[in-house]
Amino acid sequence: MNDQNVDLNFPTSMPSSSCSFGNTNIAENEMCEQAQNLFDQVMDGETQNSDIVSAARQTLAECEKCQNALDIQLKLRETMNNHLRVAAPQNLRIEISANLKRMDLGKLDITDFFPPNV
Amino acid sequence: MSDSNEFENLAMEYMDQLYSTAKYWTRSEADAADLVQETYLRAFKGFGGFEKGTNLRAWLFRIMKNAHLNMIRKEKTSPQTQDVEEEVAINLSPTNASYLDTLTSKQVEDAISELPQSQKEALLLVELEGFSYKEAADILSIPVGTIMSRLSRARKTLANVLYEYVRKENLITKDTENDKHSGNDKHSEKEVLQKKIEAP
Ligand SMILES: [Zn+2]
Repeated sequence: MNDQNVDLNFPTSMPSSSCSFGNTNIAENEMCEQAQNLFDQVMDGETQNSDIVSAARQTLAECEKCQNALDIQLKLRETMNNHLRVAAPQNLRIEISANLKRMDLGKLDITDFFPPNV
Repeated sequence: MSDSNEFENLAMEYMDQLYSTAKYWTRSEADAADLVQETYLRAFKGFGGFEKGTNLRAWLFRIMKNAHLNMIRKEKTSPQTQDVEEEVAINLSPTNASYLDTLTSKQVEDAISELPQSQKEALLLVELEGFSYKEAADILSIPVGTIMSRLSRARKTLANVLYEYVRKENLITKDTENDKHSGNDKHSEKEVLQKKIEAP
């Protein structure tokens, strides 16, 4: 769906340290940056385009810097999922359920809780 | 079945997800509880307009986003660096993902709260809640391209902030720093990555 943003013209052979052919650091960073944006889309399940996926796979195999960056992104996802999920307090659940029933019975309106903004 | 029973049967299962997101959007458990309550009451009020069979979870998150905007407006306290698209360095300073193994929940929560609000919103919707770019864009009323750029920045910022936390604690040893060329300990991770990339 977002394939139009992806440049598929990845170099076909690359040194192992980064996505570059001995170019300047800026060009090297740009190529790695581009590759990593592409990894994001694959990782997020946003593309099924086989050209993109194979370009991602090739880059991953050939560029250590991109490999590290993707390692970090995947570990970051795992870290967020391990540490950031919290359960809603039980009393909140009970309170909301009770207030929904009161609204249902016409005993309360949303404006009793949250007056309309001016 | 009463209307509220039907609504509860469909909508209450998303409360933990809404609450988790609300907690980091508002940076307060009390505000998160208020925001989730407001979301459910507004959703119930508007439930007649919800098209059955469409994405109820995304609909609830969109209501919560609007309720959050109202909350901010009411309190006249803009959240930290709202809508500022901060530039971050292109390169990740960490060279090995293993530093992420040693983090505490407190550190991860603190790092999330350091993100600009706009980046945090996009990141949590996609990473934590698994919304597609399109769904996240609809919830936040922004273009898909903006989701992608905010997400990319958020991920880099978060990786760097967490790296700084770990560095400050001197938990990164010289060995880890020098490990970038060995790569041996990453063998199994590499296989996981390859699978991920190769998955249809
Ligand atoms: Zn690269």
